[in-house]
Amino acid sequence: MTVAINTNEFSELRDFLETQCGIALDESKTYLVESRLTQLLLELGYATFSELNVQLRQARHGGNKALVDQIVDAMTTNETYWFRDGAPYDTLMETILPEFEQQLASGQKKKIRIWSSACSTGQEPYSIAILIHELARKGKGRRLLENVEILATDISRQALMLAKSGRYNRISMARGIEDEFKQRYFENTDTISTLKPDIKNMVTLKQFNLQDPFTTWGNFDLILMRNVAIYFSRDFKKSLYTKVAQTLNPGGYFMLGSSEFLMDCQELYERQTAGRCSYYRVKK
Amino acid sequence: MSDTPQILSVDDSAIIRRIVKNTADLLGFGLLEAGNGQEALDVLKANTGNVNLILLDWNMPVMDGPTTLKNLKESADTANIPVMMLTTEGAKSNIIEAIRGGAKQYLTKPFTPEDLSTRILQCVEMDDF
Amino acid sequence: MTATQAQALDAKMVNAISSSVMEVLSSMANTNVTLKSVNARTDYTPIGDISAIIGIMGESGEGMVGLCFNSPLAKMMVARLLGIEPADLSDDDCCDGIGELVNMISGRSKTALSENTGQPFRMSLPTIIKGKGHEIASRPKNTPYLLMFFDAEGQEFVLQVSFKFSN
Repeated sequence: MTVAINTNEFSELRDFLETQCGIALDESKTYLVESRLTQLLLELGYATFSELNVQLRQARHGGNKALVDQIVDAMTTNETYWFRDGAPYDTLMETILPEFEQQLASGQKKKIRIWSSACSTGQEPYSIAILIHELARKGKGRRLLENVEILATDISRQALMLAKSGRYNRISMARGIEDEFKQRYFENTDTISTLKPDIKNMVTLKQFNLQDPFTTWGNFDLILMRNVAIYFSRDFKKSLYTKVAQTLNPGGYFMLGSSEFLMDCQELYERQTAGRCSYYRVKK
Repeated sequence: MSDTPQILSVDDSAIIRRIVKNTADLLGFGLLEAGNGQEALDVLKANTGNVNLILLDWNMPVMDGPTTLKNLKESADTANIPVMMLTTEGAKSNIIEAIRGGAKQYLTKPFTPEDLSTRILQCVEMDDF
Repeated sequence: MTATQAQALDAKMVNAISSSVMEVLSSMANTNVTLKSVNARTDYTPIGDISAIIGIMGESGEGMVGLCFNSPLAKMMVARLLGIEPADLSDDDCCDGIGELVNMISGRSKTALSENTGQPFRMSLPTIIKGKGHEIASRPKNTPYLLMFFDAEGQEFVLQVSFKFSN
């Protein structure tokens, strides 16, 4: 026997997800959404959707933040690659990171702060740390290496545990890392590769829900928010990208995933293109 | 009894069991394998008290996932071992049937390596590894 | 079923199956796949080194899905699935790996099709065929079919769907 979610329960849940979690449920993906919601129900330990809805109504009024975090975590996928899509990393290596080095050399800046805002199991911030080491090795990033802070956050506690371990299996290592970097920056056994401490120690990992205010983190020169907002509603994206603009230092950079673009907020950013990579620079 | 925690991967596909082995290596678990539900029950009998998590496929020869789950939950020796379904069956009715049957997590194939490892950590409620 | 209804089902089928192919190959085999074109060419027979055939059964009719890969592409995807080098992959493992990927594509398509059309669908277990340069010629007589051409990081593969409505 199965208990299907009825239309009222579904629309109440959908409303909660949209208003409280910023997650928009696309009609064309109903099957995916329903299966995720059912999974969520299981994870939260409720037998029916109406039981969950009762809890959600209370959360809405009393602000059960943990429940909201759990829901967002369940509705989004943990996925991350080393040097994913190549092109953004080429832009970092050739344009953005050398500019940071220049700003430090000229005394225009004393410190560079980078935020990987949905880091999952850590491949993105560690890839950036590796690039900075590579630049320094070539004599083009010594100041940057000494004066960079990399903050990496994610909503999933378990993903962060994995990121903190700095350990990756063969399947993860086969996803986008060159053998040269694997040999230089990891201790490798047959099955597991472990990041060397000088890379791992460059990155600070914290749990964070992008729905919350950014004020605790200070300002940044580069923010990456790649492939995060796929499930988010247009309104939520707009407020998110506005918060990002406020958090960037003047002239700071913002990078989205290769299939994402800024629909709203165009007045806040200037779009730049390098090869196949589009990225944004805050106008202030 | 071995000190290493064990995952039992129950799947008729050797490829899936190899992928699970990769994740078990990462998380510091040992791996036990079974190609169907009956084999799983036999492996559990031989390793009583020594298995911390069961990953269970839905469609398998000899004994399928739901029947296996029922058997696991009816036996005092295995009732408390967390079970995570790992299957291509993604319909809501399947998920509800598994939840009702006592599964703790439900991950549909395809999955990313990150999803598999984070869901396993959630399932065994590990705070560190 | 009217012609318009049949067309709508065709569109939903193409959608459900192509998005399942892209999702499975991207998340499991880390392979970027795009749908290049869909057409009903009758003068084209897919040729491959490894292929898979799955039967589809629904209330409105039945048909089959055939997927055809060349050997280098199959090896690349299965090697990525397992995190190993293509050179270290045995032929048997390659076949098993393709079987498992196709199994997932079939399962995902079944869920998507059932939920998108509101009708239950069943899929048979995939049959895997290997042999250098074989043709997928078997098509039920008088059955319309569609060919979907995909690009997987510069290599092409073909998916063929045929479906016969029962009335």
